Amino acid sequence: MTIITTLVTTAVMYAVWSSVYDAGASYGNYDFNAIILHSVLSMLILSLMWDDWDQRLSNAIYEGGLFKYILRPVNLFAYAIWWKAGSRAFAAIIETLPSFLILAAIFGFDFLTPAQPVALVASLILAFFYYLALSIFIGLTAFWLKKNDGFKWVMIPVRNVLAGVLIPLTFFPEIAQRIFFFLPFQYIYYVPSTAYIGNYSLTSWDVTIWDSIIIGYAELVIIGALLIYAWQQGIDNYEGVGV
Amino acid sequence: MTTWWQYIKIRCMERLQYPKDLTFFTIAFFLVQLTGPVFVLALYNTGASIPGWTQWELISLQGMFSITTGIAGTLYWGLVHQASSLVRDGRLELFRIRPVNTLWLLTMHVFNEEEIASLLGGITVLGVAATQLNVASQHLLLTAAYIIPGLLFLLAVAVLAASLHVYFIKVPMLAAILTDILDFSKFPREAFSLVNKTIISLSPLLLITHYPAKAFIGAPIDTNGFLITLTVCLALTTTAFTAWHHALESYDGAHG
Repeated sequence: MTIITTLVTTAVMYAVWSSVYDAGASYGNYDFNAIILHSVLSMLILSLMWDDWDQRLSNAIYEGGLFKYILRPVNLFAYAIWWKAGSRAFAAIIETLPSFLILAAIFGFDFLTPAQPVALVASLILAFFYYLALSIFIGLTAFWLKKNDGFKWVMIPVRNVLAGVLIPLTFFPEIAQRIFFFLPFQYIYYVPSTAYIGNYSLTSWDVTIWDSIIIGYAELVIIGALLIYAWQQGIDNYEGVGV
Repeated sequence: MTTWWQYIKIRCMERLQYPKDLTFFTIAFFLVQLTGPVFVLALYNTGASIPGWTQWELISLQGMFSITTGIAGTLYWGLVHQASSLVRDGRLELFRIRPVNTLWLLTMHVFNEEEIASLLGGITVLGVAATQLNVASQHLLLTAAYIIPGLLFLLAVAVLAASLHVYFIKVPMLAAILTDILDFSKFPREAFSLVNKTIISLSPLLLITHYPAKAFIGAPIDTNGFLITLTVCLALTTTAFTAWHHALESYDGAHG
């Protein structure tokens, strides 16, 4: 499915960006090739990062089946990390790699060569954890909301705008970029995609991609601690009755 | 119609059992409609543009997309998913044995109250665009008339997709692919390059947003182009309902 939807969405965005970009034009630090790469990568990176822990946790809390996770002799968060690692490794082979090869056949391998490979790997690891943290955060809201499908749906457009999936973050006004810089969403997509393209920039501040990645890892520790705290608070009040 | 109204009331009462969830769903569907205008505002903020369309004209087109797909989503777009689920579970018989037209019964069943928020989001976006563009009231009536063929096209696509689900039982990618193809209609014909423009000009996708948006902003409408896409749309609608009829005849309840 990823392959077909990637091709259709790429066709739409290619057509639209072709009409927007005159020869040699550059907007928000993106020339035509970079913006096409942005559209292509948005689908590849999100398919590589996807997980359904928001749904799994929500269902388990809502239906009273959370005990199956609590009773296991393994920490839930560690279980989620390894489950996702296995699932995404498999998806990389059957979804992301074929999509990448098809797109490479269309656009050329030179076009699809990462500009900053080391930063890309570091930022993909970061994206892996941030996406999972967001999923777990959404899942944990079921402790307080009971049924949280609506909240999950709210987070999709929010994530797509704030992570730069919809349009690169540098297209927004300076004040918005400064807010985006301090939010964790840029690590889900914008940082890895710009590591690939090699044009990381956010705000008028002199910040390199490595500065951003280091800040991202530091923020991740804080977010992890907050999630553990939220989990403990939720478990303390959890009755497991199911609804 | 009475049965349909009863069904709508029951659906709404069910959803009100979880008011917080319903509130979040409403916010979510509303927010999704704002992503199009956010895209346009960010795009024009950098000085880029789509030829022939100002920022607020393009935002009105995005609002038009939300309104058309919001109406279709509320009333019948769920046919795409519902047919798949019923056929795969072998439960379509429950609809066929009742003394009511099966397609009509299914349509009643797929009423989706969440999509009303999409419609409201679209109306909000269009309302803001209208104040920026000083839209005349007669243009609003014309816009309403131009939306109808777009709704007919979406109905034809939904019925055709439902028919394909009945024929082939397992077509899991169909809904996602159709949704992606609809993305073409989030942009005007001018957004596509010369080769694509020829294909797009024949496509009824233009009926969803392009022509209603042109009517809304009071721009001249290419009558020949409109009639061509309308003809394609009517042909597709006939094909869709014929396909549905044959699909039901060939249905054997084997599921899978």
